[in-house]
Amino acid sequence: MIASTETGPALELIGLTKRFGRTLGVDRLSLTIPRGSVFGLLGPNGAGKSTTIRMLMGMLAPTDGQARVLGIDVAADPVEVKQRVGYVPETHHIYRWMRVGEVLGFCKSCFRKWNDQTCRELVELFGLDLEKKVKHLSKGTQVKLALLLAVAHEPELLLLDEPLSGLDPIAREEFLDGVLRTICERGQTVLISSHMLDDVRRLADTVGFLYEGRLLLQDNLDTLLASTKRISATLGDGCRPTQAPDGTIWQRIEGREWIVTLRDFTPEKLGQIQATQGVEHASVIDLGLEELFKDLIRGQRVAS
Amino acid sequence: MKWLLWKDYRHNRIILLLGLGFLLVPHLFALYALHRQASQSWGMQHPWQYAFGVSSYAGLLISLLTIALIAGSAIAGERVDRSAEFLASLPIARRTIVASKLVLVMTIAAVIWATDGALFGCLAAADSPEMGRLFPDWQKGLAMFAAVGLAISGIAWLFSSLTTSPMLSVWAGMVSPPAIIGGTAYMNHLFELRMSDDQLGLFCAGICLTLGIAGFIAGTWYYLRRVEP
Repeated sequence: MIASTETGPALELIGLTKRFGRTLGVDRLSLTIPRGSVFGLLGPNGAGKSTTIRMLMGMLAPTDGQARVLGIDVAADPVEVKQRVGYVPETHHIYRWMRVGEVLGFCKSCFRKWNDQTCRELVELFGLDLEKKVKHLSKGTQVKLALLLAVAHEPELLLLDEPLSGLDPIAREEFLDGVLRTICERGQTVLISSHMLDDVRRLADTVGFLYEGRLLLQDNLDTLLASTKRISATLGDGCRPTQAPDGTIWQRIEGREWIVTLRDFTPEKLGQIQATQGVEHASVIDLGLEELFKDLIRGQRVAS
Repeated sequence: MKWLLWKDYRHNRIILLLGLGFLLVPHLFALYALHRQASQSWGMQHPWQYAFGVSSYAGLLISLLTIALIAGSAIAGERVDRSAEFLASLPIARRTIVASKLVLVMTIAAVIWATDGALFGCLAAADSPEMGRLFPDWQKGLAMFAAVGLAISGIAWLFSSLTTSPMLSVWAGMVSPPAIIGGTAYMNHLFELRMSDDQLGLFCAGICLTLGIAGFIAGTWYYLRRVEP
């Protein structure tokens, strides 16, 4: 088991900004992730998730702001950060001409620590052929190899950028239940960016939503799901609400149906809606992470 | 560092095999020519000296392409197939990465000089009449080879560090000596500087040396400063 003796957050981003010419990739992102937590970074394509993770790995220079990983300033000592962090990128560019065994030997030579037993177990679990060249591996097997490389040096922090895309459901299950769950139980910190919200729901204790480089929301997942509700109200003929209630994430009116997704839901807020002129009936609907994600993004798109 | 050197050697294996071919093929031609003309000896006292003198000279000449290929692909070659991103995710200091690539380029240059350079030098120094007729100023020729080789590799290295295209880097390296020599000759003519051939050669060699060294320094400096792979 690897547990850092150091205190302080695992990740600390202070006004992290990245511009690509005129395009803003990440916009003054400030975020703190405590040690031992599993953080799900969610957002649509182009939200800035991969850019953020690449800056955390010291593979992309921020335009402004600072990133501290395990207490280390990434810009000052990227090599030490990489020693202590496991990284699975969205796309894999492992040397295609290397054999799997050579990749393992090459990577082992780069790290101070390398757990041969973990490595062997994962080689067996994933069914990797050490003699096979990377270019002859299927996409899914390349993902497995990348996951193995990310965990074999027993990192204190795992940065997973869409790690499971390309894996078949069985391999995904094996990794989620077998590997990631073990890591989470060991108290290692994990930051996982994924479109597969079910996977994030199973693992993450905290989530953050990125949209156009900005952090829209960050909260404990259970608290967030408990406090965010969708309210379906029936409106009287010809009635339309004049004002969105406080904490509205997204709303839609279709015929006589008014649907509002609210943050920080309280029974008082339901009372307010019920008291709105023209509302005949209102009911509360629980939201899943996927619905919350969709409503949040829709709300932002309408706002912008 | 050992694994990095191994990786760089394997990553550039095709270029290295090509370079080995460039070194060997002229000598194989020389052997073949000697074998065919064995009974006539080309009317020379030491035909083998002449044959291997010419083949080592040809080997040096075409090995300039090997130097350009290896220096031009050293950094950009990993960017173009994006394996540089994998390398960048590993805890290896950029100075170690660049040092390994420099060692590879220098080793290739050393092998070329230790084989064809040394062979040509020895045969030319033996002072045979045939070699004397063909290469009257062989010392200057060798010095020019060294300067041109340095310019080609330095410029290719710089472009390799700046761009993601090995082709562009190799092209820039190969084009630089003709551009320097042509440019200097043109300036000589345009400004009526009246430099002799020797002076012109010395001047070009000086520029080639300077640009080559500057290319290596600037390319390395840029690579070390860069954060992105």
